[in-house]
Amino acid sequence: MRALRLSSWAIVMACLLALLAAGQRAVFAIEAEMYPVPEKTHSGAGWTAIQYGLDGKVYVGTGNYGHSGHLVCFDPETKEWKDIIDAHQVTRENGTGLDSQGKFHAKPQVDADGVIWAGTLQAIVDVANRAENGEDATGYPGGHLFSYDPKTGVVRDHGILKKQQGIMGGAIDRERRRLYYWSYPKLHFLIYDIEANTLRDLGQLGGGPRYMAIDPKGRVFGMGRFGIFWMYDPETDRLYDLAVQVRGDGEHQEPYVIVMSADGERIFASAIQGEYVMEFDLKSIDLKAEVPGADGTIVCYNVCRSIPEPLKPGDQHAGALGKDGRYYYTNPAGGGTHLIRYDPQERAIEDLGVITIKGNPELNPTDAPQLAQGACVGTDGTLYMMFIQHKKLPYCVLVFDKLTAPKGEDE
Amino acid sequence: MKSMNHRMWGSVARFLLLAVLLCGRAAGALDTTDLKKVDLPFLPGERSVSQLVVAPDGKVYGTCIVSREQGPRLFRYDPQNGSLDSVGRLPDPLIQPEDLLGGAVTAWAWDPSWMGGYCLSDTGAMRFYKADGTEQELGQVAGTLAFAPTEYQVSKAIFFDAEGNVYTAGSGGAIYRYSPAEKKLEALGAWLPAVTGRESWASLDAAVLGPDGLVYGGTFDGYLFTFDPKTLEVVNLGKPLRQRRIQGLAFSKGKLYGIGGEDEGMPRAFAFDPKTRGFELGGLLRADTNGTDYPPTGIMKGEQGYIYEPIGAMVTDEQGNIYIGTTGRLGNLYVWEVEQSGQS
Repeated sequence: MRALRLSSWAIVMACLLALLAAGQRAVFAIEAEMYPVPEKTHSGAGWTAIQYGLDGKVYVGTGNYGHSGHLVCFDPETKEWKDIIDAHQVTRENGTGLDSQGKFHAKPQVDADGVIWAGTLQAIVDVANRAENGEDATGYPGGHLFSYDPKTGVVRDHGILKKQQGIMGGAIDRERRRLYYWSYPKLHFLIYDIEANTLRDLGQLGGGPRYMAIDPKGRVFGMGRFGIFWMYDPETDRLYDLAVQVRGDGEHQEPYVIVMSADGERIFASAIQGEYVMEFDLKSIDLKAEVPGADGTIVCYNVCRSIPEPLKPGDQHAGALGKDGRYYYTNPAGGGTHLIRYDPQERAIEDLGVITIKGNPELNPTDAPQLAQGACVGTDGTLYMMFIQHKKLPYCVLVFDKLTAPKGEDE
Repeated sequence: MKSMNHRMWGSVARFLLLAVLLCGRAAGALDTTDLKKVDLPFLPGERSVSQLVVAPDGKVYGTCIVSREQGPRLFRYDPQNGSLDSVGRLPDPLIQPEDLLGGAVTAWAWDPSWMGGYCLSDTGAMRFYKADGTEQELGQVAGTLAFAPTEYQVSKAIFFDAEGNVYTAGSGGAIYRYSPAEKKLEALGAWLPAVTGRESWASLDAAVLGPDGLVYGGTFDGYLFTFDPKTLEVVNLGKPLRQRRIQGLAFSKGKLYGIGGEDEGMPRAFAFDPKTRGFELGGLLRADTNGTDYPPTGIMKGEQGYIYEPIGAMVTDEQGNIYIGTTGRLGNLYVWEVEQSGQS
């Protein structure tokens, strides 16, 4: 009888172990090293603004609500942080609350000579309660454009681009020496000429893309009105509103993340809770197509599901092009934040696993929306992702060492 | 038991407070958060609405300025079925907008017969154009800004009285009248409201003829006033908004509705009731917040549906619906269904 009880116990234990093993296989993980952004430079968050410089350092724009936003930089070699720009200190402004230079939201841009360009945004993005936009001389003065030269350590304030409006988006044309932004909240397309230190305003875009993409021809892209992908062509010096023609399963979902492909012929895109990985085909742009209210059309392929079934897609807020030409993005689902890799050759995704913090699993990102806020890739293929503070996770940069390096270079 | 009573009375008090707050909001607020957007069929950059009129057939005609070379775009909106069409030309022999817009124009208006039109050039000269192509210079109206002898402060509005006389404002805020019958342009000795020292900024931003026979106007500095064409009396009604500029005015069901604010700022709505002589203050303009343009997760879509660009024109149809034309690269037509918003 005792032998029977023991054998039953053994069977139950075996079943439990088998279940545990199965569970472990289903919830696989990808580890990252975590480096918290220095506490005195933020109030727990930063948005979109992360970029890899030619000097091998990672530049991060912080959000410091009601106070001064900072541009900080992380050295992957020494693992140390350096405070580069304290917006209020440089501008000598002292606005508080709604009127502070509280964020560097625009993605920092890297010039051919290694100079970093960064712009500020008002602290709080709340149109209805920002009565002073363009109206009150004592309100938010407008976003400043800064440059930082890592070779000399000199920070320059190039002034306010648009009176009482913040600076958002960001793309650089190194050949033409131009920076592209849009103004918040009026959504105007801005062209800053680096040599001439002049600004042009080409008018409303109809949408405010946190990510902008630029192709090898210098054409700039972003999201406009619903169902519209806009393009600025420097050859014609014109903005074009392109009506999106969807191919593949499902309907068009407005992208949040857009990233230029390695060949410069496609733009990879992810929507907030987007069901599909999207590819905008730049060769499909047709400026002769007649669509009411639009200048032409562009084809967007809903290529494949953005996360393997049965998981449901979450808030896809951060993405970057890997050195291997694949598109890396986060997708929070099933209790954690998944890191996904899209292969444009295979036109398929690979779930790299749920992001876990090396040595500190209790800090692991959950599946809450908006945690991952930006991404960039180093020359060695290392992926850097900015996460905002949530539960025990501090506002930080997660480092995935050489994750995106082409095969053979990641050893 | 005592504790239960406390809880009960606490709940009642909270309910009453909520009810008072909700009622207060319903009674005082001017709701402009659910305007109906009517997409114009024109290309980006060709959609800046400069003029809206209601034709005798009840349809709303609008004009978008494109460029001097390309001429304006015309559209027609049918309030009966909500359709909007691009219109190549107005029916002959009416004057075409391009015949009015040959030069640099700051303000223009069809005359009541639609057979001619009046313009203010960007240097403030008043001209009359006929459908047969003839043009008549009526005289200089606008003055220049203080200490800026080449900067003309040109009014943006031209209005008519019931007799067909034409009015605008000019140098130093003077109200001018052109009498087609007498072929005479004159300063009337009536002046727009202005604080001392800012008279040269006192130009006419918007004007509309009220059902009481008075003209209701708004100035560059944001003052609202009435002007009696018979007695020439001007009454300053005050500033409905802290901002300068009155971008548009229209009457609906006995009340004056307006939109004001700086070009660089945000347009805001207000209303004036001639019976109570009181203002109702509104807020920002917002369109189709429940529509597909602004999904709840898509904060970047038009940044929450607010209208950021200045108003180019405003008019009321026979049902009292107010039409608002916005300017800029992506200008559009919006319908403010005043009655449905609870403002009757």
